[in-house]
Amino acid sequence: MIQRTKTTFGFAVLYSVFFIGGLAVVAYIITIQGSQLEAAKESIAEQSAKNAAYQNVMQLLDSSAAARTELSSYFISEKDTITFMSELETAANTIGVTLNTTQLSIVPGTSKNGVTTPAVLMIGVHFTGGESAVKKYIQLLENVPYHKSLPNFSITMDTTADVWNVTTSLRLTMKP
Amino acid sequence: MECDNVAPFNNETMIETKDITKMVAHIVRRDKGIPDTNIMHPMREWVVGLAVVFLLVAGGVVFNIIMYQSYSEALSAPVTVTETVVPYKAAVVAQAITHYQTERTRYKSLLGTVSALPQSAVTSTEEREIPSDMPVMSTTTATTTAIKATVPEATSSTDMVPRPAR
Repeated sequence: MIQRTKTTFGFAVLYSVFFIGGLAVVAYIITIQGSQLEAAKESIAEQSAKNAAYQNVMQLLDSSAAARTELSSYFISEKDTITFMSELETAANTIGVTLNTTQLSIVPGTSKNGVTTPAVLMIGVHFTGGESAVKKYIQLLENVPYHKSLPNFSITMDTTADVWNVTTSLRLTMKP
Repeated sequence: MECDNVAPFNNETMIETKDITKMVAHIVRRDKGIPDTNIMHPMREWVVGLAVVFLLVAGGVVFNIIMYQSYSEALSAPVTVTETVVPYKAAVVAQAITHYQTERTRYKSLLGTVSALPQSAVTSTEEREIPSDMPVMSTTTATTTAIKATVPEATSSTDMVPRPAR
């Protein structure tokens, strides 16, 4: 191999390496920029989705405000507890039953596995009276306009005195 | 080592097109399937090297162009936004509101009925004034007025105190 051939070969190799290296660098830059583009597009899509969800939630909150306010009024609050008890006692007196409150306690809410159970107001009552009065008072308890349940209920009649004895309890869900 | 079939190559003579064509024809030639036994052919290696580099460069250029085009299209493509539907059971809410409105109406109605009753007509056991000799079975629903009015004619407790229907 003569010197000129060697020189030419060296230049050829250098040119080849230069061009191929240049192409590899360009490919690398394009790949990096492409990856950044993909990441940016994903980020934009995620932010847009969040924005859309936020708008949807805000719209839903606006449209359901009245319904939520009304529903909220069907959950007793702690400050309304005394008023409610007084109302029950007044109604008992008015209807004509003798009312004894056997239990009044608040079971605090719990949070387990992401599920929050609201606090519960437990009211145990025992009332006695004539049949119609007792029936009316039971109806009153059944129609207490709060989210509630009556976990237990027992009714007995004292035949000698024609007096009905009712023991029950109200389980009212409290406003969170 | 030089190829016998290749034209002499020296510094003084220029390589013409026909010479290159001849070299390439020699390189690619196969004599009836018999491979060229010459180990080195400088011109052949030169041309092969050029071809390989050309292919590499051309392939790289094509690859880069395709990649660039694909990313350009991805850039111009609209961003797909996945909207999350917020679950809201309007029918259940309306049903619940209706239910509790009915309960509230009944509750107020019951309270209203109770309140509408004359307070004097309802007496408790302690408020009643019943003669000790009068037979009375009921202790809650009798009215003072009625008892007093009917005591002289009453012959039994059931006559004096009407029992509610069961």
